[in-house]
Amino acid sequence: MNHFLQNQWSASLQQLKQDKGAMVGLSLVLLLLFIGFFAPWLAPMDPYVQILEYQKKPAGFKGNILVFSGNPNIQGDNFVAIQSFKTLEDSIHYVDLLDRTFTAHIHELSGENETDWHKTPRFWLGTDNFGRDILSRIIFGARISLKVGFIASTISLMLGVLLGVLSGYYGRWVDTLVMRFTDIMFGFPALLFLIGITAAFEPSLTVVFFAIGFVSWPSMARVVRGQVLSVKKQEYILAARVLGLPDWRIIVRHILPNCLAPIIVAYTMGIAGAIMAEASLSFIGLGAQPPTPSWGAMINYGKDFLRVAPWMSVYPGLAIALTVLGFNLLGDGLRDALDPKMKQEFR
Amino acid sequence: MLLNVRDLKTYFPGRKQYLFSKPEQIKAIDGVTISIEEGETLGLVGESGSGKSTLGKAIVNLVTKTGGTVTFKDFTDEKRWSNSGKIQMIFQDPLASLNPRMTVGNAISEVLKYHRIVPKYKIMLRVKALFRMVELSPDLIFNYPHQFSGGQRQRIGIARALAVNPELIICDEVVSALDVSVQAQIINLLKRLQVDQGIAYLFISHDLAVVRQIAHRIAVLYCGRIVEIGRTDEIISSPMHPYTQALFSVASESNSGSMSMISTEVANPANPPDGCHFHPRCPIANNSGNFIEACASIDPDLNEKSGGRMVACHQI
Repeated sequence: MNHFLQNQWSASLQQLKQDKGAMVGLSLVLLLLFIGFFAPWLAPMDPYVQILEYQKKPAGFKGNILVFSGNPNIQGDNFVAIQSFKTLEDSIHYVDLLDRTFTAHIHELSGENETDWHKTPRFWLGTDNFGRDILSRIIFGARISLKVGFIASTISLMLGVLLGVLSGYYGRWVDTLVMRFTDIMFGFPALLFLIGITAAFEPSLTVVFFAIGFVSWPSMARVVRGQVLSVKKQEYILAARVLGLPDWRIIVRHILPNCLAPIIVAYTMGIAGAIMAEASLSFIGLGAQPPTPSWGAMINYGKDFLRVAPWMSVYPGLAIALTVLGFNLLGDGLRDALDPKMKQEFR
Repeated sequence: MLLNVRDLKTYFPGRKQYLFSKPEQIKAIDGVTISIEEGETLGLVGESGSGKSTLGKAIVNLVTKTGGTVTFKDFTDEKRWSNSGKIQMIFQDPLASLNPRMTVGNAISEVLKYHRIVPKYKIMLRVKALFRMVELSPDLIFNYPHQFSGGQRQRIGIARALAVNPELIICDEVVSALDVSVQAQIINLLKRLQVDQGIAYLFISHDLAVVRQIAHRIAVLYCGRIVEIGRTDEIISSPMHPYTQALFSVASESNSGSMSMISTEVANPANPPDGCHFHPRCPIANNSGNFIEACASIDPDLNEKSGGRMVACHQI
C-alpha cells in the first residue's frame, strides 16, 4: 500500500513500459497522431484530385501524367494521363491512353521545369473509382478520425464527469434520476440512436461530433459515479466536510484528482469507440459527406466495386482496425497499470 | 456548557426482509444525552459496534440524525455553527484522512484560505506555525502524506483541525493505529494543546488504558446507549454498571475472570434485546438462564447516583 502510493504515477508508468501490448498500442496511436499532424507533408498526392483515366488502379500502380494549369478560378491544375510525350521547342506532343495524339503549347503546362508538369506518381495503395490516390486519402482521413475521436470523447468526458459526480456525490434522487437515464440510454442500441440524431440534422462532421458525444457519456458517467462513491467515503473527504469546505471545492480539489485513473482509461477507450462510430455513420452516409476522405465513407464508396477493386475498401478498413486496436491496447495497458486491483481480479 | 447533546438518535435503514416490507432499523445511537464543558475531555468507550464513532459523526453532521438536538454554545440553530468548523474531527487512520494528491501544506492552507482565517500573505506563516504547534518541522509542508510516518500524519491531522481554531475536537480512535510509544506522544500533544488553547475533546476509543490518561470524565456506550457516565477516577476505581465492570476486567489482566460477561456476543442494534439491552450478557441479571424480570422487560433509565455519576441499571 505504502509502496504503491509512494510512486503511484511513476510506478504505473514503469508498468506501462513493460506491457508489450500497451507499447504497441501507444506506438500505433503516436504514429497516427504524427500522420494526422503532418498529413499535407506526408501525403504523396492531393486527396481530392481526380485523375479520371486512372480509375480503380491496383496497389503499386505507376502513373504517367502531364499537369496542365487549368483556370485557377474554377479549379487547380488539370491532370492528364499519357502514354508518352515529346517536346518540340514551344509545343508538346503527347499520346493519351486512347492512343490519340494531342499537341499543346508549353505555356499551358503548369510550372517551368519538366519536373513541375510531368509526373510519374506511384499509387502505393491504388486508386478509387474517381482516380484518387487511396494512400493520400487514408492519410488525410486520419485527421478526421482523430478529430472525431478526441472531440466526441471530450464531449462525453465532460457530460459523463459532470453527471457522474453529481450522481455519486449527492446520491438520493439525483443519483436515481441520472442512473435511470443512463439505463434508458444503454437500453437503446447506440448506433440506432446515432442514426436518429444525425438524420435529424443536416449531415456534417460537427453533428457527428456532438451525436457521438451525447450517445457515449453514460458509460463515462457510470465509471465516474462508481469511483466517486468509493472516494467520498474516504476519511479525507469526511475531514474536508467537517472543516466546512463547500461541496464544489471538495469535488474539484479532493474527489476528482483521486478519480483520475479510471477516467483516463475510459477516455482512451472512448476514443476508439468514437472513431468506430464515426466510421459506421460515414459508411451509411450520415457522417462525413463526399468528397471528404473519411475512412468509413471510403469503405462505402468501395463496397460497390468489391469484386473488381477490393483495395478501395480493404485499406481504409485496415486503417480503422489498426487505429481502434491501438487505442484499445493502450487503454487496456493503462487500466492494468493504473488500477492494479482490477488486474488481479480479472487475470 | 460548550456542547449539549440531548436525546440524540441515529437510525440506519437495514436489511429488508421482504421486497415490499419496511427495512428494519439499525439503532446505532438510541437516545444519547451528553454534555461537554469548555476545556474538558469526555472519554467515550465501548466495544466495536456500540455506536461510538456514529455518535461523533452525528455531532458534526457526517451522518444524519434521526432525532434529538445538538446545541453548541447556546446556538440551537445548527446551521449557525456547523459550517464554521468550530467542532473538528480527527480520524483513526491518519493516512486515509489526508488527501494523497495534496501536499500537507496545501491541505492546511486550503482551509485557512477558504475560511479567511488569516490574511493571504500570512497563510504560509500560519501553516508553519501550526506545524510547530504539533511539533513538526515547518520544512515538511511541501511533502505528500505518504512521505510521513503514522505518528507524523496524525500530527498533521491535528494541525489541520487546529487551523480553524476549533473549540471542540472529536478524536475518533486517534491513537488506535499507532505504536504504543507514539500513542503516548500524541496523547501528550493533545493534553498540551488543551492546556494552551482550552480545547475540549470528545475522545472516542475502545482502549480504556488510553482513555484514562486523557479523559476527565468517561461515558460508557453499549448498543447505542449510555450505560454509565462519571468522573474518570470514580469510574476507574469503582465501576458500577456490570458492563463497565466487565469492560474493565477485560482491560486489566490482573483482574481477569473475576467479573466477566456471560457471552461475548454484542447485542444487535437492528434487533436489540427487550428491557435492558445488556441483560442477556449480564452476570447480575442472568442467574443460570433465568433473567431477573425487570431487567428483561423494562428499559433502565440513566439515573444519577452521586455527584454527576449516572448509571442505567435496575440492580444498582
